[in-house]
Amino acid sequence: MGRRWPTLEILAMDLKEAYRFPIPEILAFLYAFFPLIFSPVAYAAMGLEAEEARLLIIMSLSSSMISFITIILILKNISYGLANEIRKGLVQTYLTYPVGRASFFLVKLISGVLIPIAYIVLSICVFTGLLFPDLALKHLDVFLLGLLAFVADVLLPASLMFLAAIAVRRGGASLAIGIALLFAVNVISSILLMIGNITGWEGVRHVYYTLNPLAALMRHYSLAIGGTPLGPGGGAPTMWECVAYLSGNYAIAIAFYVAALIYFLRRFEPV
Amino acid sequence: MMPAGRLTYVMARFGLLAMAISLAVLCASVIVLPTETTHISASELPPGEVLWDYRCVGPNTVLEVKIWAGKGAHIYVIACPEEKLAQLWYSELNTTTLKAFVAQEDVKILARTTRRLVRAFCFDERACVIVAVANEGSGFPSVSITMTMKVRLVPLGRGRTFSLALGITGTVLALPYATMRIARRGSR
Repeated sequence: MGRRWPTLEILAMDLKEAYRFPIPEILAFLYAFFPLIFSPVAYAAMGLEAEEARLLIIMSLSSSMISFITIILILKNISYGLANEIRKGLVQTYLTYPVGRASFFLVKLISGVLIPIAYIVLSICVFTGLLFPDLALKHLDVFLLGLLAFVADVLLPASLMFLAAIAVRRGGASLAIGIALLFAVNVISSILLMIGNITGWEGVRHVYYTLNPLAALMRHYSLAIGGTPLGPGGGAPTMWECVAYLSGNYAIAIAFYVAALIYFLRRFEPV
Repeated sequence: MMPAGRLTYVMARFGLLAMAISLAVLCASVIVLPTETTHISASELPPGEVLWDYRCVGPNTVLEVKIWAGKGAHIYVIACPEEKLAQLWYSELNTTTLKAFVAQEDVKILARTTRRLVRAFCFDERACVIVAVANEGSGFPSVSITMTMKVRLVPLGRGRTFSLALGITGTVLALPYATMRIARRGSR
């Protein structure tokens, strides 16, 4: 098997290292259990908003803290783990296998970013499916769109961390830069929100919603029934605009991953 | 490791993940948090009059009712749709109107007794629960009603079904690897 699928072999080694028994099992337990603590709040939200908005509020209840923990997991896997592997020469050892750099990059992407994101998806699906299955099935499109928006919230900062880890190549420095980037994204979002709220500029609104597609989706459904949540000014975005913001966010995240891949393929020299 | 061995190992890890999620849901389904307690009482309930209170409940709610009533008083615990509640607000509730209300098609009597009732009620759907003590005798009994609302983190039925299904799936996935491990140990 090792000879036929060396990429799979490296993936197995990487997963065995990063997710030893019983770490994934404990994480699965916590990701499933923790959001359920907020179920009384979710029930209290029933009857307050339009059904679609209620579904998004319920999903956000389950994912707010979970997203933060996932970011920490990605920081540990990528900003610290990958950068340290590069520094200690482990990457060179991996690359002695008959695998291309692109395949190795894919392995790191799966184990470092996509598996933690799968935990978020699991958490939201368990929470919503267990407590409000009818609501989720009735508005399956909103549920899937919301799920993509929640994933986007993590995928974009993770792409920046990935790029930083490959470029910096040192565990400590990469970790610090990763945390700084995370704060920077949040600070920029907040500044855009304030500027948009005060000035009502269209451009600022578009940039803010592209960085926070979930906020656009929430705004879309909240304003539809007359609510006025804090937003970056202007009217509520239409559904197509929400989809465009979400696509834009994914395009930016993918562009960062592609930039990291290109750097890894052409310019990267292991220490 | 042979491909078949690796496949069973991957299956076992997925099985353990399923079991972990099943355990999490099961743990959450047994946690019940008290939210609010209400108490109403009357030292003397005149003949034909009704002392009552209500709570709206959902699938995750447990309603604990403790009622003490004197001689001649009848205790009713009734479940009805939320829309029906308005009928009680607009008409003065006495033993006659209570009996007429209870006789309606979508009104369900959960418990009917005399003197004393201590019980917890669980629900599958949203409803209004009315707890009423009607003096159907000629005396003046004292009445005390205490209702405690508790919230279960996961609806009991759904939580247990989900947990059981996932637990069985996890066990089935993990079984081949566990059997292999046991057989390997036995052969050593």
